[in-house]
Amino acid sequence: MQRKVLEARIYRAGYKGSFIIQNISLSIGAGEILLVTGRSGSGKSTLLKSIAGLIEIDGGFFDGVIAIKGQKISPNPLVLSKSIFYVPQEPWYGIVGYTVQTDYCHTLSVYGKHCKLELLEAYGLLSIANRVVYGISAGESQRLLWAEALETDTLVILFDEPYTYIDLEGRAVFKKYLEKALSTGRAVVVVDHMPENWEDYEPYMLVLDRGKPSYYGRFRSGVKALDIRSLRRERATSLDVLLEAENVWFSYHGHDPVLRGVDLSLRRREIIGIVGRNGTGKTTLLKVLAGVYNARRGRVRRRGSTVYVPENPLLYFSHPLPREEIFAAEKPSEKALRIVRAFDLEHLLDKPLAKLSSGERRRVALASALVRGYSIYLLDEPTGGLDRYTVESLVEAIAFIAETGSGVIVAHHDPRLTGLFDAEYKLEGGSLQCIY
Amino acid sequence: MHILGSLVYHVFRSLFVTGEKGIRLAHPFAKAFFIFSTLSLFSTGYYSSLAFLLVATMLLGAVSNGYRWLYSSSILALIPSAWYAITAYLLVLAGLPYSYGLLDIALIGLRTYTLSLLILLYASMVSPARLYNILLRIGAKRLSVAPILTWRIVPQGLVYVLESLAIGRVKGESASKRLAPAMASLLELGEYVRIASYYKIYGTPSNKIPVSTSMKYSVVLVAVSIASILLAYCIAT
Repeated sequence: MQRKVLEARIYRAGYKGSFIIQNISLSIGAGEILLVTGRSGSGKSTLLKSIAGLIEIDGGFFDGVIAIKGQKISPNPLVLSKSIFYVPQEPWYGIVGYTVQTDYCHTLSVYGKHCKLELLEAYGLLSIANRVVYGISAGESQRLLWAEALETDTLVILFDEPYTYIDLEGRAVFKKYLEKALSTGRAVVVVDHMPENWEDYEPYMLVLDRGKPSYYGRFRSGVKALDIRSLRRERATSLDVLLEAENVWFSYHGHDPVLRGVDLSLRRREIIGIVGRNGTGKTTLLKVLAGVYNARRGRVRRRGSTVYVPENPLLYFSHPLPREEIFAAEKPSEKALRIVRAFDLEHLLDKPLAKLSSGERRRVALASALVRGYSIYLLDEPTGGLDRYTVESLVEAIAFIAETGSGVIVAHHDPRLTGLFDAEYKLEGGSLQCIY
Repeated sequence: MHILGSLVYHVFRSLFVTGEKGIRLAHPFAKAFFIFSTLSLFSTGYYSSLAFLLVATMLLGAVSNGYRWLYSSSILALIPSAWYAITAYLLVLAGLPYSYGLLDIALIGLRTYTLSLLILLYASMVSPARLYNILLRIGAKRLSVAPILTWRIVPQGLVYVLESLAIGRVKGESASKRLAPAMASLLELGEYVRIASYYKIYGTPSNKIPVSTSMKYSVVLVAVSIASILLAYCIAT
């Protein structure tokens, strides 16, 4: 019988006095995928950190056994990293080099391999090899980590929410890389709150619920697809223009313009979606519309208070606790409490923001923005790391704030959101094209 | 923009805005020669040498790093030069035993401004990838990640601070109230990178990072260095 590549038995792991996962056993063979799924905050990322040996580094504890090809391995991250490559949910935290090339070459160097830059071509990264990493998009950061994961030849790759920042074309490319990894006998563990993304591979599936396994076995569907249209309520958009961008141009230092003559107007009670490939400038556009960046040319007029919720929610927060962040603007009103309940945040209100999962932080940021009641909402990838239940709540909340007279622009890659918008645009080559 | 945000913005653009390109790609010997010769010329203290160094620094910086680098570096260089010039003027007013005229005070300002701009140009010439390779070559393998990590974390932290301040402004919060969360986001960045990239930071690298050398910028640096040496020689004789 073929020996499993990765076997893990976790009795208890997590953070003392806080969240723990327990009684999880899993094994995965060469060329196989294990899909770990469950609601936002169910312990998926904690599980990956435990397998990668990073949980103790993060101030947590680990009580269990990890074995690679039948051999027990010390839960030391440096020992485990010889066999396991961990790709975090927020890809920018997985990069230590200041340019794409330095990070790629350093990573290969740590694994004892020589750096062959031409291999970056296959990942669409060669043209940006000399670019500073704080100037590349989240999707490009993610592709850099895929390149490293695949070129280092580790036996196991752990992907935490690999599709969060990836456009549809990028997902197809990712599948190509994934198949390459599987065909070379590697085992892949994927965390995703959308199991349907992996149905084609018929993977093994581990479903977590509040830190415990609720299902482990062959892939089973049974997850009802999110039907945004059913959540949508009829709403007449007003003729009042809340935000107007005229011939907006923007470029980063030393680079070609990212935005080239963008025209856009957002009306009261309107919800607009913006899609586009990774690195095309969706985030930049939102920042310019919000006034975080100034347009190099052209004009942005805002008629009303504006809020921008970035894809990295940590930058949004003003307070260390969710309770302070959400209720800072006002005493807990019925509306505020309703939003807290809708986003399932009641049990998280007094947990430090730094200790929340990525999906939980995003929910807090969105709830805080909604409670404060702005006229213009600019949301960057708001559904990243959110399960279908929270996405439903988010969609209802967005519909609610539009009904109350605000306007919303959402930059996203999430196919689940199709049907939410009154108008949707594609950002391509620096200009916006109306899809509908 | 709030004064703190403005300062962070100019520090970011002066030191971290470019990747591995421009003057950073010049040969290390050309860089060393340039630093030695320009400092030698600066030490003569003559108006002509200051004028030459100022023009050469501005041109080199603008061509290599762009006019935005020049703009931000010029603003940063103004801070110490204004400080020294004003301090000297106040000392004269206070009757301390210096008999500086206005021209002397202007020279103090000009010298400080030139030196500050030169230092910013030197800083933009530092290649973390080359430092990585040097540390690897001398056997300090575990430390070799330090330069590339520093050039990755510090500017990213500055970007975080800037964005956090800007988002605070959009949210209608004062910059002073926003300072603590901006700093917290910077600390959290460091902590998250340490955890997610643990094996990259604490692992032991074994191979060098390929670095290309720009003949064009090497020649330009050597040419400016020779001109500086000649000018210093002329002044001395």
